[in-house]
Amino acid sequence: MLVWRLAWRNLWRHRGRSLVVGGILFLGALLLTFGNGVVSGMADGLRRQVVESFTGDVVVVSDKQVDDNVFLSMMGKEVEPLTRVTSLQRLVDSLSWVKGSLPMGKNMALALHETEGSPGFVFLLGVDFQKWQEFFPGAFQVKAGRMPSPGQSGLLLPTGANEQLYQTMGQVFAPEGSVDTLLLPKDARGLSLESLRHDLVLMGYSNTMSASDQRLKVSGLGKYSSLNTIWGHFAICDIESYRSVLGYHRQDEAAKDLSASQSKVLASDDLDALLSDGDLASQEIVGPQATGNATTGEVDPIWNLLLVKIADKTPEVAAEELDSLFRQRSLPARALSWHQAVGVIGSLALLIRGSLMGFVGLLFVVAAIVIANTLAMSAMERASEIGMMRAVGATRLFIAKLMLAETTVLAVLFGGAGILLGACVVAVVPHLGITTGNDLLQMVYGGEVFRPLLRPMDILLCLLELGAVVGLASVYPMQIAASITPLDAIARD
Amino acid sequence: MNIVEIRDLVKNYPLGNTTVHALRGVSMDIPKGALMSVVGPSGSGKTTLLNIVGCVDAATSGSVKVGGSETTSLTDRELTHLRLHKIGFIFQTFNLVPVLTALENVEFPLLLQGGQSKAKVREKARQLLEGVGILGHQDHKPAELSGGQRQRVAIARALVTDPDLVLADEPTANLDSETGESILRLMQTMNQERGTTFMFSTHDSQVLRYAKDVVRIHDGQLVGA
Repeated sequence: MLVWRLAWRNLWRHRGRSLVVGGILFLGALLLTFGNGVVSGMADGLRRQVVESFTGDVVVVSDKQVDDNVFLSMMGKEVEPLTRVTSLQRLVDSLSWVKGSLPMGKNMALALHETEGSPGFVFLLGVDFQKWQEFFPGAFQVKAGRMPSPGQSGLLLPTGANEQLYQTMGQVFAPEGSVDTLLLPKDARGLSLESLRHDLVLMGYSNTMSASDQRLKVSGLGKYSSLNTIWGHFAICDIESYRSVLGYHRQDEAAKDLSASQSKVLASDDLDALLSDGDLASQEIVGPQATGNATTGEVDPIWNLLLVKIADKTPEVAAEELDSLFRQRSLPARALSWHQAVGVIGSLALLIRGSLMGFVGLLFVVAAIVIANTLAMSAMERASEIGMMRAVGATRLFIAKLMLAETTVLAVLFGGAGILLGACVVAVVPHLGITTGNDLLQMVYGGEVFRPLLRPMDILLCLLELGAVVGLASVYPMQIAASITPLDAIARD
Repeated sequence: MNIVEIRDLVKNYPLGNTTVHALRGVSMDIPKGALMSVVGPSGSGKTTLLNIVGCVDAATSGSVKVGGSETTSLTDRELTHLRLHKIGFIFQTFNLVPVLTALENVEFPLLLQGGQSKAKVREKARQLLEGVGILGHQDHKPAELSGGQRQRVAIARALVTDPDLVLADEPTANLDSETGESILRLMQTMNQERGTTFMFSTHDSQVLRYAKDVVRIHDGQLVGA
């Protein structure tokens, strides 16, 4: 009690210095809180923009898939077919920490020009539209046309892909019916509606050598709800059309009628090697048993990815556990965290998050140093007073406690106010409607609208950080003050 | 019975490349109930002697016993404990805690000691302030008191723990002569009424008439009583 009384009165007596230290604490706490809010908002935003809109937390791929970056690899390197998806999905869905899973096809497709122009290309996702919408609700906004109904074939074309096709092919695609010209590529808005094309001929870009061209009707034109500049390159079609484009469908059907050895031949990745060596039947073919299910006798359709949403685990840990399970059950798959699966986007997200946290950390250290220096100077200025207290019987511990109490009072008052104001700013900023179309900024913003976020855990983190600043800033002044001897007081007199 | 026993006390200070010999083998005893004045010119070593007896400075060699404890072998914590429980200090420049009132300043050593109720501490501090004649100023901060009033508060603070020994280094140096004399009379009264042992330093020969015992020091050596 004596310590707190002395601390409070000392602070009041040295109001000017208290205001300086308090001001630093206030500003530091404000920036720490806001910084934590931005980091948290970014994490939450990334979750919404990537995990909950496009990839899920974990992406299961074929064990033959070499490159982890399955979504954004340059030049659309083929994503290996994923087999035994039914078994994989059954296993994944049986885990208590899995919220859901969705198989998906993903590869690149050439968009063929039907006259004499250059072909274009799109990243193509093959989905069961109904399940995809349930898995990623609101992820895609259809602005013209409509989402294909269950069992219906069709293509959802995002504005980004349409822009890219226009740049390479000189053709603009849109669903039948009226279309807002603002949805069309900027340079193509002057074109007459009659010149718009309503279907697109796609041909898979894969190693199966069985891809074929497939005409797909453009059912809808629209935008991804977030990161449209990136995800906007991914057109979505029904899975049956996707398999036809990639040649998977014919492979499946053929497998139903072929003998086991014939299936092996067709399932092989290395047909050139087979054909170059003469006797086809004598070849020992090593390749995925792509389509057979020994237990049920059913043909397991081929996909490329199994997207998994999880709870209560980090994606990295979940991926490791899934890998372990796949190995135990000899399932031909491996799991990637979403960071790995989106390649540079994941790295960029980690980099931005790391930079923000680094900035907050730097702020933390600078604030601690400035406060420590100010308090140490204050302790030295008060050597006479402190020495006198030591002379009349105050222990070093008492003096150290006094210094700590003074810093703590300042931290509670000014730091507390800083955290409170920071929390208010974080609460108000999302309502100001600060928007950006830049995808990099969207990652920092947590979406198109700048949306910092503070959860109770973040507030607790702010308090811990403030406590750490105070603790760190107090050590040196406490040492200085506790080392003052009664003789210092007398010598100063 | 002696409260303080000093034998062959030497204190040297390094000063640049030379050594200052502040005390050169001082030996003396201070009996319980003494009102002793250490007299000498500036730089004679009287403040150094008081500092070592008061456990705020360390001897280079020799022995100092306060209340039977050999202070030269005590740790910092033990010395602090000794200062808190057995020694009272009165400083030349009063040295009160500026943010505490007169009453709180007197309470301060008792609160550091702990173990007594707040009411008891307050009551004891009031009694002492009344004893030194400034109870009416108990709620004033040091800055609101005159030099004489501050020194009275300092005396009350020095006495509040019922110490074996009160050390006062030139307690009247910053006071006018009339106030200085009143402070000395107060110390004389406390010595007579409470039996408290006082040891004070001065270079003012007028002050000597208040002392029961006088020790003269010159160039770090006792030169006669």
